[in-house]
Amino acid sequence: MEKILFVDPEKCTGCKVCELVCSLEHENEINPTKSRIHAISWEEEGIDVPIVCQQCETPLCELACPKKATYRDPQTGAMLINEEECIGCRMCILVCPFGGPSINPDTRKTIKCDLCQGEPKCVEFCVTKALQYLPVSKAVLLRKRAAAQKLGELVRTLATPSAA
Amino acid sequence: MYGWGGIILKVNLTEGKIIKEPLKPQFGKAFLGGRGFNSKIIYDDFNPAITDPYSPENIVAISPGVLVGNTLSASRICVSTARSPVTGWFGDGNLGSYWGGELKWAGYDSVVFYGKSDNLVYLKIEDDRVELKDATHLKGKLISETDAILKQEFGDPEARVIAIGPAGENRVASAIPLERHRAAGGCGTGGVLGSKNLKAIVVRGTKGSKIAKPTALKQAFKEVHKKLLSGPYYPMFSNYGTSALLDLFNEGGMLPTFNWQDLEVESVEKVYSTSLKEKYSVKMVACLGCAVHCEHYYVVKEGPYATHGAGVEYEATCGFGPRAGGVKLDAILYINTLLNDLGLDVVQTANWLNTLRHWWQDGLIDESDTDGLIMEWGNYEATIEAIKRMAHREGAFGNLLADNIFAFARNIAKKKGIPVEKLIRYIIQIKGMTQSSGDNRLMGMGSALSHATSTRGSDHLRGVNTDLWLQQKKAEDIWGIPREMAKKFLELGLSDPEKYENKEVYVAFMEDYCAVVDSLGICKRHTAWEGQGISLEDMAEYFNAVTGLNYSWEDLRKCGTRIYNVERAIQARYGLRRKDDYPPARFFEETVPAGPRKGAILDKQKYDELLTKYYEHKGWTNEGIPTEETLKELGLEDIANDLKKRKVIEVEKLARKSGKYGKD
Repeated sequence: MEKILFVDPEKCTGCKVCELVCSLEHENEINPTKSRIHAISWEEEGIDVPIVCQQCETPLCELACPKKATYRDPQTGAMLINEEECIGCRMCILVCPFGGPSINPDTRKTIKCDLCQGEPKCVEFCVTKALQYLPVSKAVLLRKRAAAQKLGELVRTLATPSAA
Repeated sequence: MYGWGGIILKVNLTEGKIIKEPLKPQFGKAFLGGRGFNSKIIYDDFNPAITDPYSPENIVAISPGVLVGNTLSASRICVSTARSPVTGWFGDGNLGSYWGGELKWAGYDSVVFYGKSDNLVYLKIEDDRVELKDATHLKGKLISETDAILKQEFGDPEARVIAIGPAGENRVASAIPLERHRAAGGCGTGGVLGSKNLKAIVVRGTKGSKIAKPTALKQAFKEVHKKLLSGPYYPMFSNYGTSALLDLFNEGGMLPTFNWQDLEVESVEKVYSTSLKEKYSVKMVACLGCAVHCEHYYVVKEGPYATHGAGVEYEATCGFGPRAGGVKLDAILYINTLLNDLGLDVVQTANWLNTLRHWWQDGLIDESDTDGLIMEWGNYEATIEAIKRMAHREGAFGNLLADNIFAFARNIAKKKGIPVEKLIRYIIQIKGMTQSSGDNRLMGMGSALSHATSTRGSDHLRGVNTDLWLQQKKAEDIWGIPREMAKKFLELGLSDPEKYENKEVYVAFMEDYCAVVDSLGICKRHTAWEGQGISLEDMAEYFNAVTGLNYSWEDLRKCGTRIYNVERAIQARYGLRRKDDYPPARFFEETVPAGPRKGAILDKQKYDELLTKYYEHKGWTNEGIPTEETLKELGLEDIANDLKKRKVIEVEKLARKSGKYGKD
């Protein structure tokens, strides 16, 4: 069962650990500019949203690439980029609605999440489980269960006569 | 050079000049970064004959720890000044940040401010480009406003801002700089920056940090991360933050109340962290690279105290709660946001206002002294009004309080013919810095000694937080300390908090430990200081992986000893002596009146003996001055020679001439 990187922004604390470990893993340095994932924060409102490649089923980056430099990893389902083929034209960045791909400031070619060959580092170090790497069936039920819990509490409150 | 950016930015505000001074590798190896850099720079560059904190000759040094931007758990910046408006001595504050990462990724290790600008300016750092810019449009702006405006002007929401608020601009003694709600608390460096007309520092760094041994660092991350998460207090801090300490202290009969009188407080659960979590906390937020995420993002939706903000700590819930004789949590949150936005320190402000309340309780001051504000216990309206007036120096009361509580005391003493010592005795302070954390009678004798000898004035962050962390049967259960040290502490019987004997061994070790932590930029809450797991060995692992050096934990500790002695030498030049290393007089003279620890008091004779032993252990004279031998052993010949040349006694006479700041 293929897994997906599942993001729950409500749990994100904005700590940027994901950015630090991602850049260390892929580039051997600590540099958010070279991270494949970014936690975007609005500190005033207490909102933090991790943004990362969604490994789309119909990847717009693939459709846009003039060199056909993208390809699917058969193990993880991740969309990968052939660095040698990539010409750094940035069409993939232009078309992706999520801001999935980034530019490596040194090579000026595209870098993007490759799910760390099936053991994503960001997930390993995310303590709040804002990032999880789960089988599709489990991921689907996560959100539904969280919503059902809130609804369940409401139902219990209304149904119990002695409540309120 | 790995780990260090390699450049110290020296900003001469008088001439508007910026110098990029190359970092000497030896300096980095000896003083690490952060607090270590600041203290040595201040020792070297400041003339101790200057006594006015607002003199252009005062210095403010801002340095992230060397591991900030290089590892996890390290986000902390030290902001230090040669003369603090709060204490009159050397002082610093430490904030968890994102700013520190950006500065390191831009390639710098420190920013040091000298002189004074004619006009209000801010410093803009964008990788290699560093410039001073006009900040007239930021005059009077709150911290949150300044943050938003500068990020927009910079054109990059990832830029980070440290700023002073209106309180700093108005030279309020307890004013501090903040990165939004993350505060460099304690010694009032905000007013010093205000006197220099430096409003803010914006930084964006995109170069990142190269790592000497990336594989070793990846491995270290794995191990240390696991350790941190399995620490015994991790669930508490990650879910409830430091406000949980209030609950803990109360359950243990250690909660300070009513300006440290420790009387009983009704309904104190109203300010428990559980109440905070249930009613007002929306989520937990973090500093850079931190898995503990101990900060609450809170919202008070409605009512007269409607507010939102982040970073409410124990010092706020206790300082404006039980220590102020009140338990209105929503008002406390309102005050916390207000202080963070005006740019004021929570601890000093709370203690000063609580001192006013204590004087009021005993009939020493009344409405005629407070411009009509009723400074009674639990009066939140008066508190909020007092804070606003102090921040803006409004009215006689606001203006006087803004100079600091000692100035206020001297004024009352003169006005009413009361001996000033009588008033000052109410202030729970050491070396001019009012107290944080717990009551010295109740947290353990090691903690009492630590507070008293801290090199920035009363402080729980400088050494032993509490002896209670040693209350384990086995050395393996003492977190964050090298096993052999833990064994030694247990053998010496140090786990008995009420015991005085041999505590100097624990305190000396923890003082060095904390100096290392503050210079590496690791958050103390992750370490033995807070009963948690990141140890000196782990820190050495991080440090070696990043820098490529090969430090043992003992090597790191020695850096800490060195840094601590530099600070002690700074203090010695100012005239600091043995008599300044005592907990507040009230703790030797008054017993705890109620609760499970009723009757607790400090023993003067036992403390005297402990202090003497401590000085011996540290290699200092019986007046607490580092000896020439000790300094030379640490590679501080330059300091030894300087102290000799100055005939430190003579400097003491000079320093005590100034009556305006601190307790003199």
